[in-house]
Amino acid sequence: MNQAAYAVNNWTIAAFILYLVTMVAIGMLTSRFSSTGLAEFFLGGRRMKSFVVALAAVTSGRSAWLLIAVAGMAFTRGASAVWTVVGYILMELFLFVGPGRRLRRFTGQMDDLTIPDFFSSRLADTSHLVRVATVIPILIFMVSYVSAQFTAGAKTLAASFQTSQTMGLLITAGIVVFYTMMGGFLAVCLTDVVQAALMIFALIILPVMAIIHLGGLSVLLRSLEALNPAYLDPFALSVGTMAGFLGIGFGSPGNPHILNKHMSIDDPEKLPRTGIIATVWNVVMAWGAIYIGLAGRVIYKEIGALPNNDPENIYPLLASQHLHPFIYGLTISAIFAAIMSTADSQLLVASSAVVRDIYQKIFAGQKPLSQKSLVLWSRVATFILSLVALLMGFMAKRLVFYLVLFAWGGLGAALGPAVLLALYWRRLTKWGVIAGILVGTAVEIIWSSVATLKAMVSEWVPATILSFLVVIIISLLTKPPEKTKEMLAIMEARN
Amino acid sequence: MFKAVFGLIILPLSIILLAFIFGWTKGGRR
Repeated sequence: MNQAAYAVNNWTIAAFILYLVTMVAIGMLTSRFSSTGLAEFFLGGRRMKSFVVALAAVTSGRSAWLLIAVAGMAFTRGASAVWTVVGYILMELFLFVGPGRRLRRFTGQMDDLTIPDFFSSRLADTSHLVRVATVIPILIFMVSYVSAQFTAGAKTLAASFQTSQTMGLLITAGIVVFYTMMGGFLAVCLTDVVQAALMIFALIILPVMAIIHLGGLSVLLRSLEALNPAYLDPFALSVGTMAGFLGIGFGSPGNPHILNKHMSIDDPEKLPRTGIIATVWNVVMAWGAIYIGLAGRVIYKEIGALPNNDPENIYPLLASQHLHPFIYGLTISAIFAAIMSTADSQLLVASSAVVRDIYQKIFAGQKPLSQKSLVLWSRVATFILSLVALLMGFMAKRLVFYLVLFAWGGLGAALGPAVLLALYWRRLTKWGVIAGILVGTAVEIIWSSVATLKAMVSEWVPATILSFLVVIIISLLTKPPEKTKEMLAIMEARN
Repeated sequence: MFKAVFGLIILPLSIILLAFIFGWTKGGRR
């Protein structure tokens, strides 16, 4: 069987074009608001509503990995794939209930727009050392991440509509860049809401149709048991594998495109209840992907029955064969939605690192800059960074592939422990943060390149734990900034 | 079969319940 098995007709194309037109329209409609100033362009003026923040936070964190890789994992492993989603869902719930609110209160008070901004204020660093140390991994990982998302979009287009890889890359990048450049954070969040709706629609309708096709949930479970009893056992995995799966959650507190959603809410006190919406959405999407993989296993039985013998093709295959072409078009749009909702947020974070952190805070220093010109520069930076990502997608595929392997876990290990400690621990110092970034990144890369270590447990688990320890040890050996008590008081002050 | 029901039904519902408990008790204004 090959990719051409996917049934595409005018209905499918119409659904997909409808989705793309909606994205462009949002970009145009939000452009005026985002032109007001840098806080509007990069953080929606901290006026985002609860529902928007909930959906934007969860969709930014979920790339096509959820629809493609998690469904494929459930096809291959059975019920034990649930642990790939439990870690990040619980971590993101925790972020909403505790750290997110402290981060929003502090950054709102200090007028911080980015995570490097937050570290600089929290550690009272006037030397820009901690800002530069956090900007470097953010820029490297975010731009390669964006590049990988563009490539994934191109692949989806090529597989679904037989476009060329180049055309696919240009369409994916063109749409994302247009609405992100025009509408900034507001466009990113509003498109996230539409994208979240599409993703949840696809992740509900597809497993429900597949389960109905099979004759019900009990038939699905009995058939899986008949194929292999291990498919029904969520504990059919080693301790190391389970730790690696759960440890995916370590990525969330270190990825700035997730954290800045918390920073954008209109009222920090709303964040814990916002977490309920986010968690329900996260759970339904995740288990939808898992049920797709399980139902796919019963329907197709062998990996050999899938296009290119690849379990990651289970989602598009199932959709093309069990849904009306228009609905199939929407499910393809859902893959695109997952890709775009991640790429747009990452592009904006990279752009904020260039304009806010490097240009405004380091190079311009005390020189007054008009908000209009800063927004203009932000749009230019967004455009140039997306060109860099696009060029990397064309010319440095291997480098992108290599960097993206470490992007989620690497940022989690490098920045996650420092972010959490900055919110709760008075003794944290800038040297601790810098040491954590170096150790987190180094352990992530070294551990992953030694096959025997990687076989024991995924690299992000030791990298995060060691980064956490190093941040604490180096902080205890160095002098903390003054007035930390007052800083933590800002984080604790309930409105 | 119990393990399957745990992983595929009870676990996701428990996480949602947890979100309601924490979200509701920690959220809101004084």
